Amino acid sequence: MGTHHAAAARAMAAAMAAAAQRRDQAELRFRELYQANFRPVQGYAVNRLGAADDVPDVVAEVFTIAWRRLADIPPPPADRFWLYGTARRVIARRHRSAGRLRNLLGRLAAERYPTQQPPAGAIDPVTEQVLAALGQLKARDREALLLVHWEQLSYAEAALALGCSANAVGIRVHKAKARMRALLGEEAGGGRRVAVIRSNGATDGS
Amino acid sequence: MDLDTMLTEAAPARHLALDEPDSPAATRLYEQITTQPPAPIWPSRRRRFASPTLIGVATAAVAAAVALALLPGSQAGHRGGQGGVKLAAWSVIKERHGLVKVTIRELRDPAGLQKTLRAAGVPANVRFVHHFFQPPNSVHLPKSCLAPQMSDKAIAKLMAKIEPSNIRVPSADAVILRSSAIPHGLGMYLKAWAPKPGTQPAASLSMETDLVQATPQCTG
Repeated sequence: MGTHHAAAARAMAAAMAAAAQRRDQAELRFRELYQANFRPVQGYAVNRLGAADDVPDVVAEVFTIAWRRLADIPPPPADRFWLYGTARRVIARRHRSAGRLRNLLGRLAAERYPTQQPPAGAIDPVTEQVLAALGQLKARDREALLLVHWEQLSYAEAALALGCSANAVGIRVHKAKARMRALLGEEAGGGRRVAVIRSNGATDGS
Repeated sequence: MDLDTMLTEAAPARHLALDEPDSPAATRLYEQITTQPPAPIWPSRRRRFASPTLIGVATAAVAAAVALALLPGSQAGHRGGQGGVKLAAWSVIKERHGLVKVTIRELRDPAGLQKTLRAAGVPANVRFVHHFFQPPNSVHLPKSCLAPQMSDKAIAKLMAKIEPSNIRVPSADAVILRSSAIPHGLGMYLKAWAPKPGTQPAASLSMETDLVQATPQCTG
């Protein structure tokens, strides 16, 4: 009996040690993930939400999910694209919870970008036009465009974040740019015609 | 200025001071997260159902399990071929306080999910779509099924009651509904999409909820 209890105690101690080791490994990996990606994830949230109050909440939720699902996260550098994809879904969920989700990114761009608080000083008119034009893009095209231009991802990297092929990203970026040029005028801001985009989607020249 | 430059300059994050990972706020967040139990070493698909939230101790897990009622049709899991637990494509769990948690792992058997939701007190129209991105809205929903005329404000208020924002959703592929908040005559439209059948839902499954008419044609 005593031998049996001693064996059980040893097994339990071994299990606890293994659990502690797993935790250490998990925490080490998460620390590296957190250190390397905190700013990029925060930047992604700011880029999609503007200077909104819920940016910290989005960042917190993304990393909480990452902690829970550490085993699902690919190694660097793909971990960042996984986090971007998670952030995209977190923002979608939060937006949906706040009300009826029709087209998350379209609504964000159409309604929030033009009204977001200027960070330091007023948004210059060209930027304002660009943000408004982004609001007129199809959501899937816009997200591809923003991942490439704002998050500085390659097509292949953006494809990982979006769950599609790099070729598809390229096509969407191309379509988004063509639409942007149509809205803004070729090389808008260089003294040429700049479109005025209304929140209802109507576009006038000015 | 060319378009690429204009786009790059327009990024809101370029004009804001972002926190560093060792800033006080970031450090506090890190500590809050890592005080919770770490993830198991195996992928979450095989354990999410067993651990829907970050439950700290076994007794709490047992207590929670007692409080939950697993509905017929939402089998928690069965042994897979390699000895692991393969979870059902979706599950519906009646939780305390009239909440219903819907988790979708694979886009299979929408009719079964719809039927199970109804049994849980949630008239629903469930659509699974294989699509890379969000499909066009209501493309699979007849106009006659759309919810009655309500102002956006009223809809937002109602949706906030049905999907309470103060209740933490345990994972990205789950949604929690308060069935008692759904008015008589209305139901939920639940649309989920992913690139292709059998795709890893953790990576790419997305969901959208909306209101629909609770009629035999719309919600069965």
